[in-house]
Amino acid sequence: MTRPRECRDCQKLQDLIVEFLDGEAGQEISSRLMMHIVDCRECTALLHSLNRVVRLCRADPGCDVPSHVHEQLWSFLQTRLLSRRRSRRKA
Amino acid sequence: MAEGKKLQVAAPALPVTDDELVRRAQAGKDEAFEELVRRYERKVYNICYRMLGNEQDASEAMQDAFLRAYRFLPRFQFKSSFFTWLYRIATNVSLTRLRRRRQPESVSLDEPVGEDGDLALELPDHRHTPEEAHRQRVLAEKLQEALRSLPEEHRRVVELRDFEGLSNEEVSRALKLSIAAVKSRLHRGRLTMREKLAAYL
Repeated sequence: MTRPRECRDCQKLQDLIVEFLDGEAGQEISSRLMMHIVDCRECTALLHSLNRVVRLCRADPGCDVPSHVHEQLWSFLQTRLLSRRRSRRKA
Repeated sequence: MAEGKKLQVAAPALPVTDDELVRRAQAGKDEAFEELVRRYERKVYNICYRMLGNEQDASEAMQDAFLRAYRFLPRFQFKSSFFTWLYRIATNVSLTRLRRRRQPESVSLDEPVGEDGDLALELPDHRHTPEEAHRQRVLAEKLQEALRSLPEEHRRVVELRDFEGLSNEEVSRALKLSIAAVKSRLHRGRLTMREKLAAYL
């Protein structure tokens, strides 16, 4: 299946899309990309959906460490650090 | 006089840098290492959780990661930031665990996670409406599933760049990749995420 004619440049524009989405594209790259997507529905949709993906990832707050997991970690570390300290002293 | 008084005002203490804490820990001060653990406990837990998908494994991987960090800290040479070094340890520990888990059970990474509701319990409380809270929960689960479905080399880049907010240069240093490779993997990873999340975009 052949791609629409206006999308023949899409592959070349991949790097530009990454830079554009990351806010690192200069004026020239932005204009080039904009000129391309004006005529390319496929790339417009791609850009919008990728932008949404990036926003979703960046907005993901992650989760807090559950209190029992936090306590397990500290009890584990205290035990292990203590045993290493003792073995260091013996050495 | 006024000037004299001004001079007596103590300047607010600057927070101790990670590098300074590492140096102290290398000199045998365990309290410095404990402060590093306090600083990065949440980040390391999230890295492990994103890769492993459940609380039990994430908890054990986090313990393992910090223990290794403690053990290998004397070899840390300040060529990268402490966090990127710790990140590598946490992902390596999680990947080893993931591979071990995959072998006997052939668990598909595409399978839904959080069936026991653990993830839901740990998410922030969106109190607007029950529907909105539910939508957020589902979206957060799908986001984690999509991330876990990525090939390892793409996932590492997406996680550092888009979830942890590191710059391309920082990712390149952390993963020892060229900037071009970071961009290429990032783009491919995002494309896969987009496919997996198509219904929610």
